[in-house]
Amino acid sequence: MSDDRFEEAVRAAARRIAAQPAPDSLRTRLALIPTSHPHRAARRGSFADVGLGGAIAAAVLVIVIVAIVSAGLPPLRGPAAAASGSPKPIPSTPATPTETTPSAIPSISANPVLPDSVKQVAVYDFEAELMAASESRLFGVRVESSGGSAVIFRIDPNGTVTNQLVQDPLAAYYSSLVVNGSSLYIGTSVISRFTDQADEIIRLDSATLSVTARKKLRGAVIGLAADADNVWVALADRVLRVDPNSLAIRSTTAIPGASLTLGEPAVNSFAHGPDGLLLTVGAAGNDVLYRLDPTDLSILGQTNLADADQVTGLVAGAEGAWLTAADWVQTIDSSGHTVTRTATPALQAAAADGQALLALVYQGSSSEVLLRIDEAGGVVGSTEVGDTGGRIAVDGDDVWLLNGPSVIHWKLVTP
Amino acid sequence: MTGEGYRPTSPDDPAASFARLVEPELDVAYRVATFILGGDLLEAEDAVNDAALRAWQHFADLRDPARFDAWFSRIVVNSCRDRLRQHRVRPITGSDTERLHTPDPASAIALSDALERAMLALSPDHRAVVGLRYLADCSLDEIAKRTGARTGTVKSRLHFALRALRAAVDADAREVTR
Repeated sequence: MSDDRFEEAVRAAARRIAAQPAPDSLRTRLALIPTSHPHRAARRGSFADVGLGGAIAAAVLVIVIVAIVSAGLPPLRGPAAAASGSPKPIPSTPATPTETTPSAIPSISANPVLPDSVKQVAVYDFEAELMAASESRLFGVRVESSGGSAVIFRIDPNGTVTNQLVQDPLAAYYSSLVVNGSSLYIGTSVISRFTDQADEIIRLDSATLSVTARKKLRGAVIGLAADADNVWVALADRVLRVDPNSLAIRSTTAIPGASLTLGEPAVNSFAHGPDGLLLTVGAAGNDVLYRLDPTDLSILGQTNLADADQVTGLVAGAEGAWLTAADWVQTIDSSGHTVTRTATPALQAAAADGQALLALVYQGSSSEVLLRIDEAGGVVGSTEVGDTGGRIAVDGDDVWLLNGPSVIHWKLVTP
Repeated sequence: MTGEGYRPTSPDDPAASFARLVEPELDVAYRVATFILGGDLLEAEDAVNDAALRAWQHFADLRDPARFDAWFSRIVVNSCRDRLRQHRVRPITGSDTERLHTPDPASAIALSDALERAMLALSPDHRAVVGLRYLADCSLDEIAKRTGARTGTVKSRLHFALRALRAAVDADAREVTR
């Protein structure tokens, strides 16, 4: 079957699975959102749960709907239009973020012709869904299509590739990978719809690539970080510090405002920076950046993020930390505040490079550019690297990027 | 936006603006949610309802109404992810087909199609990309904005998803001819 015909078949099958338009019952519930107290409605899940209050509310809802219609605006449809209701106070808007948006963002297009950021070294025919680098070695994970196994691979500095097939019913749920030299750590993000198994952190020997320890967790792994003596695991509502060998939990701390509960804010990105552990907590563009002590996991500071709806994650290394967004990156200072913002239009991925940052930006036509951004936020290097698939791993002057079914090894060009 | 007896009476009123913006997005949002949630219509309705509540709570944060569709879609996708991550809900297969497609018996037959089964076995991230691509007709850049992933990641996920679907269909065809 040709690709076009196959895509048409995919489209048709998707439409069969999701054949129905939004039901009137949904519109009934949504029609009441603007006139009910959002926080209470959110907790209860729908207007149907409001109970007797809804009987009074229904009468005034008619007025509201009429008001919308009389204003020439399309009201939300559904049986709610015939219901009744009482106007409820509209809550205050969320607190204004304390972080200020820089007034001027350095523009890449304003830069003159830049020197290359990297040069290509070698190409390896290997796909990877997760990559991590350490001691000039690249480690990768490719989950097999069956979902019950994964190939773990290592590319050594001399170019030797070592593979190990790992049979694991959780392989399809591998979501995080970090390496600390002697060990690899994989975190899972189980989809409970498809399995009753708990999430885990898995340790593998970096020499043999075989599994040496596993530890069940109470929730999905949002992020991992590791050094020689510790592994940190971020779950949706807490951070764990675990023993790097046994994976026994040494300490844990709950993150304020973060919850495993549906609809509540949760930890959504995590990194280990030079001045502590960093994580963001939030939902729907209302995020807070926390800085934690790596040892006792105490909270050292917090910052409300500006433009949080654009934030995509955190990137950190031993010498620097950055907040990444759809179209910019921003340095994080030693006290956990965001500082210098640099425009990186269509940012695909980023990785720390000492005090600098390597940022992959999409420039159209299936091609990406690898930018090198110095600690002051200036773009100091730029190389077109092809279609990378948004994966990057960096260690020292070694940079690995995906390119279709291949991993390409690059070397940083010293400025 | 605070006050007793609030009434949306003009296009500038947040409630009216919200209603005007969310209505055109509902059908696609519901279809994409249904797809990501493996065909579970009740879960999809709850997911879109939750997403709309969240969107309303943070409506004041939306600076550019022209970006409402991408912003809302991203909240819907996240809402679906939350439900999959936090709920122990069973997959919609086999005996559930009547509930899934009651109005259209032919769809129940089609559900046994290898492609549909393979779609339901995709990871949620892969289903989100496939759903936005083939149900919402989004470009790769639009999918990136609506999932919070980077465009390269979206391309990669779409590539892996289509490859997995084709492999599943091929395997099914081999079974049939065996």
